[in-house]
Amino acid sequence: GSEGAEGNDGEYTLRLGVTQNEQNAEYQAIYQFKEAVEERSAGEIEVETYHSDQLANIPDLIEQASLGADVGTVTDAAQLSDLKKEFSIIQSPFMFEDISEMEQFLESDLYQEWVEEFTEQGIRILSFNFQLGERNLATTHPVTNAADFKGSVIRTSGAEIVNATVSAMGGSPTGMPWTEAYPGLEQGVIDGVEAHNTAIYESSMYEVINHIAKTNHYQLVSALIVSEEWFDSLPEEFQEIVLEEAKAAGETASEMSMESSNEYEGLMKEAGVEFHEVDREEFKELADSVYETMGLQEIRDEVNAVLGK
Amino acid sequence: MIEKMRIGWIKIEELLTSWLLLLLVGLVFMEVVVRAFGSPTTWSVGLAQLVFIWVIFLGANQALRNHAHVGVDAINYFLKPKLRIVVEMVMHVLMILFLIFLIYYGSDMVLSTTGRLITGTQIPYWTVTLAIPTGSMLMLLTALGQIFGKWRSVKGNNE
Amino acid sequence: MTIMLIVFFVLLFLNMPVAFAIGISGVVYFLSADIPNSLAIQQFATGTQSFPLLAVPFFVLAGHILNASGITSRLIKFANILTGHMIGGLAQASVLLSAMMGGISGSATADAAMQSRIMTNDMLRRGYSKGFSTGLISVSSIITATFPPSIGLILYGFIGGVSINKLFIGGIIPGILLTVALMVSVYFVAKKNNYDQNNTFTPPTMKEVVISFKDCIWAILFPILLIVGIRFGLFSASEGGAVAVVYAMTVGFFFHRELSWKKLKACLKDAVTDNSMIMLIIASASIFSYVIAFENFPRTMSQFVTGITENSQLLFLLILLFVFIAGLFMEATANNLMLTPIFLPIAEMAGIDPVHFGVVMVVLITFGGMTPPLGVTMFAVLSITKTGVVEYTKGALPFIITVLAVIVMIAMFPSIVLFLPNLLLGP
Ligand code: NA
Ligand code: NA
Repeated sequence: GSEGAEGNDGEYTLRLGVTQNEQNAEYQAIYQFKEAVEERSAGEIEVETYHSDQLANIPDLIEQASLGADVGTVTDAAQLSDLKKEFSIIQSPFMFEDISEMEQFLESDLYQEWVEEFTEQGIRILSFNFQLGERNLATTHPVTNAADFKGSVIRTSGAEIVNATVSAMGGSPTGMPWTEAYPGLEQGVIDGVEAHNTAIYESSMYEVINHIAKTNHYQLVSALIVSEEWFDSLPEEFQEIVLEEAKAAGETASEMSMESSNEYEGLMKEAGVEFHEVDREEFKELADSVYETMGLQEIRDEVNAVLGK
Repeated sequence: MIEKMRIGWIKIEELLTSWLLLLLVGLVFMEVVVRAFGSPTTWSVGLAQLVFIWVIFLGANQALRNHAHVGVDAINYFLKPKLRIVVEMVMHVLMILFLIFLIYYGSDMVLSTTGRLITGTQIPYWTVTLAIPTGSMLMLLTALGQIFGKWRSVKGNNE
Repeated sequence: MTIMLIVFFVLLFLNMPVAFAIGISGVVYFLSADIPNSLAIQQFATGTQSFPLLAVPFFVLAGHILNASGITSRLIKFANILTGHMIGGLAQASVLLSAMMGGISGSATADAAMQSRIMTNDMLRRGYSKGFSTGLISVSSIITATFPPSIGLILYGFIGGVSINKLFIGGIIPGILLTVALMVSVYFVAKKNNYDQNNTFTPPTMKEVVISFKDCIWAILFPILLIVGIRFGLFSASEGGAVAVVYAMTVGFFFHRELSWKKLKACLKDAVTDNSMIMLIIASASIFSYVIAFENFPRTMSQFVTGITENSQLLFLLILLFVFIAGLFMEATANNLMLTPIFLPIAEMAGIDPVHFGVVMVVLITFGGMTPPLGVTMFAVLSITKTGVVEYTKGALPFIITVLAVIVMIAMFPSIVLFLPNLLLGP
């Protein structure tokens, strides 16, 4: 810019924005990224960080990055799957047995291939290892099995894969901003949300739900993405630094999320929220139809081949 | 001929925006009803927001035509009428430049679309963005008409 | 950013329509900075893509239809009978109506837009000045933002990770305080200016009240049905606007039989114009907010504020002063998004309760929409009533001062906010 912000004298400036607030693991992680990258590049790379959607919302930031603005964000796979369908597999129901299986996939050549193909959209995925938590069903009425869940009106992010999953498990997904979910639950407009512990606790949603069914229908894993144009403008040694620190940031976010997820679970129990263990196989069977309706069967087979399943 | 087309277009535009606004009400009300019966849709919010931006940008032309866009009127207390007309003309020119900016980069934005979808739907997001260059193009025509009309009346007064 | 602000104020002063003044100065920044110009377009579009914002067009349209279907005239007749004998009776009714609307709508702008449709003409007929009428209607809609549901409180709770439940309950006493304070100040202003103090009005008899009540039963039922619908989970606050439109149409067509297709068409056309004007300002304001975020202005600001004092009450007042000044020029939702993340941590460090801080912040931020020279609520009212900003400012001043006094009081005495939530939900 012609009148840049104070101290804005790095050669390569990047602006990173996230949806979560300042205390959240996502923001803490990109802040760590900022400090590490600035130090290791001796200030040549400058990273400005923004929380609470202050810079812009996630779909806007993705679009900006792909148009070549020097920005980046942390986004889930479903959001990216609008631009490249393959990514929705990462957020598909019961796709991976556990985190280590997903990590195995993220180390694979197939995944690397997708990342390279994705740069054609103008976006560079730096790391896809922000493990933010298990997605469960948080509801006003007790859900202990699929029959309890049938017909429940559930707020989702609106992503096609998530809607399809909720539908397949027997619920009725409804599109609604996250901010409207709280009053919606309080007033009974909706019966629940599908979310992970940190999201439920940090936005006070636990005040208006009474039950959490631990379906763990998918692991929320997000990616740190930046504009490919920006990434491409960096000298090779800086590209290395950025990739390494993005991975480290993801690890930090995952650790923090794991810790706070457990802590919040305790706090929510104290506040009267009941956690229910459910038969995941039952939900898994129901959710299986998603792969057909979404046309993900081939991609699933490819990924399973990589995983040796 | 041109005048006939102009009047015809105004009629179409008013009909269109009115129906779109009514459609907006219908969409959201429908969602209330179907949800009460336990089968909400995932697309009504996204579609409502798409309709909304078209109401706004087509309606903005209607507002411009009816001089409904408000400004801070403090200047009228300080300036002589003649100077006021000059200022008004300058503001009109700036407005036209702004509209050209919106048309140019708006079209650019629509064309360089990234595959982004409206949340909860399969509708491409450029249908939202398209409202901006379209509405701006209509406003540009209106603003040109107004500046031309003003110019003629000023000239007419001086002769 | 300095250039952007200068361009903006010059254009504003030269009577450029507000939406264009904001848009043009924002574009000037984009052209001079190293950001793709198409992002200005993106932000322009994003400004309109918010579901809670839909409450605005719905309540604006509902206002038009309420007029055309004879609901308003009956309601005002009823209000006349109840308040006619009071000094500034109709103005008192306007304040009460805002308090009633508070329980229906989450948006002060929607309430103000509807009331200026409904009440301005009658107020002028009763001899109030235009400045007084528009000023009161605009300022008193602040009450809407304190009673639940309130879009501002929801946003604040979300950004700050603060209990929305507590915020909602915490807003109730401040809302009542604002209602009472505004009614008292209406009394004094009306008395001084000889507004609406027809001594031939006598307090109504029970029979008169009952007859008039029956006559406007559909109007009285209107807010009650909305409140019941929202409370029992049939629809959300934003959706309530659409329900209000359908309700008004049903009553107009089938019960009062005063609404016709021709009238409805006129309502739709007027509502389109009103809404486009309001929404174009909100859309262009998001270009502005983007620039302010891009320049990381908030961080600079917070370093500045904490550098001045460490006394917590003084700090609170200082923050409020800053929020007030920001509110003079910026749009409320944008302010909420920008300022909450900056000031909440500072306030918490100074030992201020986040619920207390939130209610005060949100009231003040919403109030920014009503204060000249720039405010979306204000412009909504002005465009609907074809009033000038200077005239408005003169009329609104006593009410602006009243609201500011109440805000300072709420800020200085935390228990005004915290009493109810602590009582009902525990500290
Ligand atoms: Na309210
Ligand atoms: Na203001």
